[in-house]
Amino acid sequence: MPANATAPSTPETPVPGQGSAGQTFLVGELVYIRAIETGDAQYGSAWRHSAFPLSPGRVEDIIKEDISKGGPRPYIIVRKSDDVPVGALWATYDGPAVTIHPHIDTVYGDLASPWLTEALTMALPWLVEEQHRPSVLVRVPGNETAAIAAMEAIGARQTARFREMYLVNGQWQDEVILELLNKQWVQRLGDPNEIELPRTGTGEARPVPAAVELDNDPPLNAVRVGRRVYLRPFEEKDGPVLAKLTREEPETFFDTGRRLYSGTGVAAWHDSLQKKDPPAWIRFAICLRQSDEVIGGVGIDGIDRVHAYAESESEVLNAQYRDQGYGTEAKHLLLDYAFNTLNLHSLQSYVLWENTRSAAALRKQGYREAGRINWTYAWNGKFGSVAVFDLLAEEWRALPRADAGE
Amino acid sequence: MTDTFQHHQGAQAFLVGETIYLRPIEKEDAKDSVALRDSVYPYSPERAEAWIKDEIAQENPWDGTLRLAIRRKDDERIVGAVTIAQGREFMRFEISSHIAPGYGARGLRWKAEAIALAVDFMMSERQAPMLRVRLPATEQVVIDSLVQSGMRISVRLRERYMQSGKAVDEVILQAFNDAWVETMGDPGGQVLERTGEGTPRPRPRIVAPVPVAPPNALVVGPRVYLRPYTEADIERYVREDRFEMLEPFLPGRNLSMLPEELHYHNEDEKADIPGFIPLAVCLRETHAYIGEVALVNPDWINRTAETASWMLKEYRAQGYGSEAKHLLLDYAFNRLGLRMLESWVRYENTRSAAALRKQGYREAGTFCWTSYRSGQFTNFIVFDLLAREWQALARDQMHQ
Repeated sequence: MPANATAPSTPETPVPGQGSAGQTFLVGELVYIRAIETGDAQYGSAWRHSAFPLSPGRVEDIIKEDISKGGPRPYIIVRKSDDVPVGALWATYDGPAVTIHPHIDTVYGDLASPWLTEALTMALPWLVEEQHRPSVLVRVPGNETAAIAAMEAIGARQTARFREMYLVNGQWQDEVILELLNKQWVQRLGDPNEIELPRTGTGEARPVPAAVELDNDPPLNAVRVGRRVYLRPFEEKDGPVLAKLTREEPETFFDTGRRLYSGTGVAAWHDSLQKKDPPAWIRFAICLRQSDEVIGGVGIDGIDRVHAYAESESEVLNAQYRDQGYGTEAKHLLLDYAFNTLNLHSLQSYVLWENTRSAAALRKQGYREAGRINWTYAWNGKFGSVAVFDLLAEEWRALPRADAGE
Repeated sequence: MTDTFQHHQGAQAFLVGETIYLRPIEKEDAKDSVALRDSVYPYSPERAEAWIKDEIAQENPWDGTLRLAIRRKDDERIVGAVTIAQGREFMRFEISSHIAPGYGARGLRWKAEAIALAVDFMMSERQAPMLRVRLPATEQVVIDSLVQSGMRISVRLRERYMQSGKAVDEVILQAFNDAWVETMGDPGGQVLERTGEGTPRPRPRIVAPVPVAPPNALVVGPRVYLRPYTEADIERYVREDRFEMLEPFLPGRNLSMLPEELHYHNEDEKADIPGFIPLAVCLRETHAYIGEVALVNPDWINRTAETASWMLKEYRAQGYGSEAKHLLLDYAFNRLGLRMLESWVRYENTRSAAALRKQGYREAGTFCWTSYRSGQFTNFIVFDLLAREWQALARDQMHQ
């Protein structure tokens, strides 16, 4: 890289290695952190959180049009010696927690590990102490052992681990979630890790309902058929049905209070999900075989095609069909679709602590506890936590199957 | 449209089988969206209606893609669909079919019947010289029935699909028009000329560069690296067309159009999940652009893709192409986690075929009658490569 070390530095042509001069914070021995600039388009492969190549021209459009409109913010990790971007800390500000997804340039292999470690150990205290955020969460692949140890050395703790979430060089790597809590907030609210997760149910996995062999034709547009329910794509006419069910909801604990769907809105939302090909969020209506009535929905969100993971979700909106196994039957039809048709490797699920019923259902369906994510929403004058679960395709396939008569 | 094309079964004069018949897709068929649409993703009747009105209805009924609903004769129920892709170049005929979930073995029998009807119609009446059908090996009933009706198995791509956690091969069948076989001779009769030893060579080391990586590099080898394409690269390769030599292994020189190439490049880059992943091959020493390697039609459900590569003429036959190809394989298998790759090479392109064998690919079969060559129809030789085979190849110890 040609450089004239004696030329005066101007904002347009900084002298390599001088880019951090005068910056008062987030400057380390090896790297410094700064906000994204238009010129970073030339180094998109280093900091973009994607395995797919994009030209600098397209990356520049993304910087100008997408990144500047909110959503996750990339804090660029820049090498001090030559001012070359080598990665980014992607920060999502949501409720009391800031979540950091680091990305480091893969071409450097192990060489990049010290850069990531230094960037994280600078950024975490900055966010928690200087910006007074109650909590920072960091999600890193489990093989970043140096970075994990360094974060723990400054007080971060591992609170969750999703198994086999990333496929790297032909090997599955876990994802580790670490938290660094603001000490003043711990003093005020207590240490959330000392609160035990409330539980109901036996916690044991039950047999998967048997696959149904149909003697007759499947229901119209059915994608999966169980003994009592089937899954089909959501349609426009489902909108008013879902809206009515949300208005009749008796329970408040599934989420932070009840939600109200507009019939028009929920139909348009499902249509917008189906318009995308391939979709980012796949949802099916749960219908009763006997009457074709819609009683809820199941879905797969946040699908990562490279690493083949996603998040599962389900809701039995019609309260009269809860606690009778309809939801679990529908969920296993979804799991069959996710693992056997989409070929996903793992699924995750997130449940509010107070929602012990959904947590018990997940355990019954074969999911395992992956840990907790603390302080992510407001609850009773405190910050609430989320219990997290995961399920691998191989585990689900190995679960015992019920006899056809059950 | 003739008056035999009426919307009830008795009146249709052709494409009518024993248990099912094939009929063009109409707006009112949208209610059967899952049966009509060949996709694993959910699709509502409203989406299907928009698709029928905005896309299917806009297609040219004479030589565009023909989409037919598979209807059961006894009750008119739509149980699936057949798509006949018919290009203006006569080698482009392909028939695919989809049956709605839940019909089990009955569904496969309807599929076999529907494909056989479409094949017969296209060959005997619409004069297609050749057409192909691609099927997962688990649909043996369909494959057997098509073979029985005279189709040939040309190619078997190993582990092309994942079904319920198991890898499944793909079988590519071809039908050849008898009249054309009489004119041209048996399609299997052409001799494949081979060059090279045909054995895999060690693959180059992937280098973690010290201390500075080339700008925007995705994978770096001893002499070359791969980075995202730029508009300047596209201008470079379009310009290069005019200076290409008439090589016996190339299909003849081509003139690309820059505005068209730029348009497709920009459209491809807008997709969240790319359908085409080109990478520029650059020299480490000078950063000069010297060629392209690419993943074509990556399939994210089955985790496979097709590979392609092309080098500027002054950088051929010196190992740059093989090094770049192994960097692409590293990217495909180790970064993207793909399981299997395929590659298609014309018979006369012995050089590319030799390179693929050297890189560890295996022959998966011959796909016949693909384009014109010296008064004949030339063939493709098809290759496949599994991730675990590539990962097991010896590493070149010479480069550090």
